[in-house]
Amino acid sequence: MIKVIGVLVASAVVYKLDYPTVKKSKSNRDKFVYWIFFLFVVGIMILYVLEVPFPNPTEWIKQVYKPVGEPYKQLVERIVNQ
Amino acid sequence: MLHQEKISVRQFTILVFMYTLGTSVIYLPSLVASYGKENGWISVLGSSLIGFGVVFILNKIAQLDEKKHLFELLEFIFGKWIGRIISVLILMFVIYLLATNLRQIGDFITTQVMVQTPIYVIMIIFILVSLFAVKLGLEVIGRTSEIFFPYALFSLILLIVLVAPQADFSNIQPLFRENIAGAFLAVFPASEVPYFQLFVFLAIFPSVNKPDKAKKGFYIGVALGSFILFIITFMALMVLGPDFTARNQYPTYILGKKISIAEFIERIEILVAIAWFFSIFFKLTINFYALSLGVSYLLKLKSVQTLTTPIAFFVVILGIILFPNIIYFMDFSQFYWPFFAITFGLFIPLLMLLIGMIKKRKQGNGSQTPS
Amino acid sequence: MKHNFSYLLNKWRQKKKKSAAVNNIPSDQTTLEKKLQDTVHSVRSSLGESSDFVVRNFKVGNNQTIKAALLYMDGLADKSFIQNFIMETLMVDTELEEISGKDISNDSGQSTSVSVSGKQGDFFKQFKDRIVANSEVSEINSYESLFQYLLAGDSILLLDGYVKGFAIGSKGYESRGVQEPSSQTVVRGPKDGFSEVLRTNTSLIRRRIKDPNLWVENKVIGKKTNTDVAICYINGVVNEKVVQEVKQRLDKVDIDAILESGYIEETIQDETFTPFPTIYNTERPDTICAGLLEGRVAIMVDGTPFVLLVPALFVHFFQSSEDYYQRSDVGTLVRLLRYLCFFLALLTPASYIALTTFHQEMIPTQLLVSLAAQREGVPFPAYVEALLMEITFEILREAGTRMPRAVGNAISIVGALVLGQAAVEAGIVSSAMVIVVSLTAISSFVSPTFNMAISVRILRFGFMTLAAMFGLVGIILGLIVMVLHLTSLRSFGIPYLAPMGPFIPSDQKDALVRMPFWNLRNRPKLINQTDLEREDTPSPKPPSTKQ
Repeated sequence: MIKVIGVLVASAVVYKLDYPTVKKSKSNRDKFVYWIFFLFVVGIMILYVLEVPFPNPTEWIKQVYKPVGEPYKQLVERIVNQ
Repeated sequence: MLHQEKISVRQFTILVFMYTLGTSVIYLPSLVASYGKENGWISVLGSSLIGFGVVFILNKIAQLDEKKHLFELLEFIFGKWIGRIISVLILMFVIYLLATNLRQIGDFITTQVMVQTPIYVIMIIFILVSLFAVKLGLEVIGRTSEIFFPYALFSLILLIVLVAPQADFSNIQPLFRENIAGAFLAVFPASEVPYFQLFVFLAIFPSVNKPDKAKKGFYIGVALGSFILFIITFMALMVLGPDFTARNQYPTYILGKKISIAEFIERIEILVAIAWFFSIFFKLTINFYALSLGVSYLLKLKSVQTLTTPIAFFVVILGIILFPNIIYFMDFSQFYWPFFAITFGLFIPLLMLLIGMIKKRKQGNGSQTPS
Repeated sequence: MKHNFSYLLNKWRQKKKKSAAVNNIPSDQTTLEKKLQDTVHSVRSSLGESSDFVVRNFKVGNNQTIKAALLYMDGLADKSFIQNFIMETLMVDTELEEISGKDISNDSGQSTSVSVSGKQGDFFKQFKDRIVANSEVSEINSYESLFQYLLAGDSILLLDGYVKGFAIGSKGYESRGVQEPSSQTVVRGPKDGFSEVLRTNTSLIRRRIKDPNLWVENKVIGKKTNTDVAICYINGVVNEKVVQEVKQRLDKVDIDAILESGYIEETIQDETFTPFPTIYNTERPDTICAGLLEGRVAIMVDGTPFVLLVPALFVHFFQSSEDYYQRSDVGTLVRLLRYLCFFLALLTPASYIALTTFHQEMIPTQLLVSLAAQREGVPFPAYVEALLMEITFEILREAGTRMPRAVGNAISIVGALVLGQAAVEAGIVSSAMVIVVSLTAISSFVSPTFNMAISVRILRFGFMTLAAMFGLVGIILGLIVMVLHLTSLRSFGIPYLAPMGPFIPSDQKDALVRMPFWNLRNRPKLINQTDLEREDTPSPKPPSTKQ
């Protein structure tokens, strides 16, 4: 719980420092998108400090490139460790 | 609107140079040595040839419309919707790249320089510096690169000169006899960092004040960077020997440990690491800038800087969760990453060029027929 | 009749205004009274019966027909000048036969006729043209201008029956005179420095640059102090945009007092949140002239010897005028030494902390052993030790600047013996740390400009903290942030780190190094932009000895 409060306090400080630079753009769209992203990232950080397991994007990429990656791996191992 | 800032051709060239050195200056010798052993330096030469090819393609793409940045070009070439989908994919690649680079520097520092510091602290301070740079804008990044360029170049040259007396030519013999296949195979993974990542420069290309000269600057930056990479690899192989180079994750850093001036000043490898910090800082910053530019463009925001802070913290988290450990990272970066990189670094640019040329020709014909 | 009526109306209005005003102080726009004594009275009451306000009543003309009064501020006006050149000419030499009686209608102070008010101008003109024998004379007709001249040291001559008067230039006040500047001393070079008087300062510049294109424009800033501020530049050489920018920014200044050029500096600088100075200040006229000749703009403020120079770039703070008086190779080496000292002053304690805490392997073994032996008895970590010593030194330095001269010896004894030697012997700090702090201190004194040295002092503590947390990595990241900040700064539109970032090849000749004069063909490109050619001296070639 202390970690969550820590993240929230840190986010508040960052928001306090950072928001004026966004405000300068004087665009409501910018402010709106900024808030959404900020809340999203704060949420992710809270989940992270609570040690909620995340799906690993690297695995997804591995899945996509498996058809070429696996044969290449075998090729490399054959040539390099000859 | 999003790219009003102007940088000079010199600044662009230096940024390309720094980006080319980027992460590779410290990893590349190990990679090529593990494939090609004593002939590993051939792969560096081969990959720089591929690098020039990539630069040629990128320059051609930029020529399609010099006033449009990467994401505008994508929309222009592929149409609104396909263009946006590809833009999103590219942004995912860039954010992945950013997180990986951040993780790499974190790994390096926590294993080699400051063992007791938690990795996320290192990652946070590095991304904060990068964030500060992106917030200040491209002009400031360009000028800063001019300030640090002499130091980065000089310290690498100094490293080469100082370890040169310890070079042993027998380490790279026999020439061209064994491990040739491995050396040629290594060209592929050796060109993914940095050459297949150079396409992010399309995002800042329209900000260069003289686009025609920028093309030449692109070549010069890559050439200079490749040359340094080649010499460093050559020296690492000669001084450390192929086996030691291959087994070490950071051979350039180890090379720095070999420096000894008058048997008094020794172990000044941190100075090499500092040169690397500069180059990786610029790599982080350019990727970060391109990412922010793309996100802001796709979301139709007023300023590039709007979302930089949330992105920065997101990247730190991403960098930590991407790779559970170093073995996993090595496996991924050797066998999957090259394909991931070539998709975005070569195939998409080729596709852009091809369709862009056809489209432009059509447009050219279309405008000619009525007149 | 019409005139008469309007005059009465005016008078009535004035009276109404006056009665409304507290203490009978005339508002600024009011014209002077017709009756001499009324005017004098209201001036006197405006000044609150101040003791330095002097009124001399007398009569002019051979018939003693015209009542007059001379008003001046004691101490601001030159008394002997008033005596010799105003009073004497008016009271002794002047024969007013040709005008007295003809044009001056009466001395009763009740001139209300239309004809006289019509002729007033003529009389005034004659009086001004023929009688007031001084070079600086201007007419005044309102209290505002009266006070403006009076409080600047001029004498006010009022004649009875007229709503106008004369301001006669009689400024003469005690000033320090031209002395050797106490800051930025040189071994070789002119020894005169600016003083507190604006006119003296402009003359010091004009004596060096005898060119009609040297323009001096005055502005009055400060609602209460009404301080004269002069903008000085060489027309044709200066970048017009910078001049416009300076004028615009000065116009925006709305402050009650300007007591020193620091007030101006703080209100017109580009970026307020920075430790680095973006405006140069100096007491040396030769430095200012060199700046003007480069195409920069000087801002002089009355009441201070410190003259501002804009745009001021990072490299300017490392240049001393002596660089140009020595041979160029000497100048170059000294300049490089200053940059070295900048980094030493900035980074020595931080590097010491980083090396002893995180990177001991970089220290040569024997040195490391002796360092460890010294630090054996020291109870603090290196960071606390360094912080302690640095703060002590800052206190000593501040005390050294502010203390009365007489106690100087005491400070140096306490500083050197008690705090230095005794602290080491007591085992509170290591002697290596004393060396580090001394080196830092000496290096920071090398800076030819005081305000750059201050920014180094501030940043040093930041770097020490970074080094204690992250070692050399922290220092490098701190340096990157510092350079990013420096490159983002601008001084009146010119990038602060020019000519290094953006890199300008042609300006390198006079930035980190100083090339010989025959090589410095052009003025700085970015500052100047218009008249680039500076000179065309050929490289000196001695006649060959072979005949």
